[in-house]
Amino acid sequence: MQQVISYLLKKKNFLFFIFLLGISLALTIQSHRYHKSKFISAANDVTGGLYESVNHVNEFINLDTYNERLLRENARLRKELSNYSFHSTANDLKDVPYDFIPAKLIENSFHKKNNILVINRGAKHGVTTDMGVITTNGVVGIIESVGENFSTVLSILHLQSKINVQLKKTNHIGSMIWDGESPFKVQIEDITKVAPIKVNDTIVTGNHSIFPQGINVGKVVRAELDQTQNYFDIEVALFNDMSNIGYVYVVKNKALKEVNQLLNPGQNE
Amino acid sequence: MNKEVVLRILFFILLVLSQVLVFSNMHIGAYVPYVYVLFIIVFPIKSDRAVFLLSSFLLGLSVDFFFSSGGVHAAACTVIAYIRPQALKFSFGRSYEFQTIKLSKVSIAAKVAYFSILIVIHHLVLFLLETFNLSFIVYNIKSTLFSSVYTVLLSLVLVTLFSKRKE
Repeated sequence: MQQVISYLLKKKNFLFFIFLLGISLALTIQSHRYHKSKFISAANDVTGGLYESVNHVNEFINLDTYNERLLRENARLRKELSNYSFHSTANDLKDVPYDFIPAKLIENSFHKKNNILVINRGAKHGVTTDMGVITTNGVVGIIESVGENFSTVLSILHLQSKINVQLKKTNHIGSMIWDGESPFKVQIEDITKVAPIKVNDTIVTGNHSIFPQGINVGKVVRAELDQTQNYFDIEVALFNDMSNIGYVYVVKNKALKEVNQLLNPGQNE
Repeated sequence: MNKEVVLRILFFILLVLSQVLVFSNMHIGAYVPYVYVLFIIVFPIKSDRAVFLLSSFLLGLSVDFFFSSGGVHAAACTVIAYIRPQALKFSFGRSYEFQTIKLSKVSIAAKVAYFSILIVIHHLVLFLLETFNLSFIVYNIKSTLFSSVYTVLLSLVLVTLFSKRKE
């Protein structure tokens, strides 16, 4: 017994090292599991607050771009509205299935393999995990973990990101993934070879419960059949400039709870 | 708490903040310099091993909090803190244990060797754990090489600047 204790004492630094390494590996493995809320995330007030205060400075540099983008969106929405206003009533707004929570991106990242972004809206503002995040130009990512005032977003530029998309013209569906190469290009798999896909076709979000159908994603730049000759191997140039995002909308699907209940009747939340 | 410890804690905070707010935005292409490892590189040699391991772990963990990256930085920092004696022995010879090494007084070659060993291993562990997928091995080795060169250069510049100010 004494020998065992003296052996352990001699090796105490090694054991301490193994202990610390074990903790960090456990945290790493935990973070690689999608759909698990994380222990280590920037969605807390300390890191979020710091990012936000620094962002106030950075924002001035990009103010022109953001204004321009908002103006253009307003113009587009006004144009769309002019088509609808004749037959819509005031009650219609309550019936739309989606709510949009405006938020500001306070920490962007696009040069890593697993990019996580931080926005300045949290549980207090109605954000929950698995909500979609979009901009005027397209999809940004999915809410990963939520703090009181801040949330983190799993960017579409993340190796584990997988988003349901479709061809705008024909509704053939596939999943959008990222190979980790360029922050301006993503890949789409599982679109069957019967789809009449061509270069320059527009890709939009599919009929998925996270994003509203038809949000712009990007343009096809390359479409070839893969090794099995059954599915397309597609590369898409994103409409969104992931290096300059600025303001975003968090998409809240009001019907999501009902949809989940219908799909998984056994699970009650 | 003596002055040495307080200074070290301030250095810790300064490095984490400058990493997160400044150095992370200084990426060239996809390569980011992880300069915060300087804390581990210049940590006093004659300090308690367990304290050193723990503070390196906490350093990595603080950076992980900002990057929402699980425990990848914590793991990488713990690994290089544990192997630092070997890196010291390799770069400065056996004598490092008996004399206090001043980084401003050793030869450039030894300094570059010491910095490179720790930084390359740190980056390799970091990228391997970050992708967590062996199919990215080529990418990982490439990123390790380029990011390490960047980090080593930046760290050497910073160390030179700091040690000049002291004299």
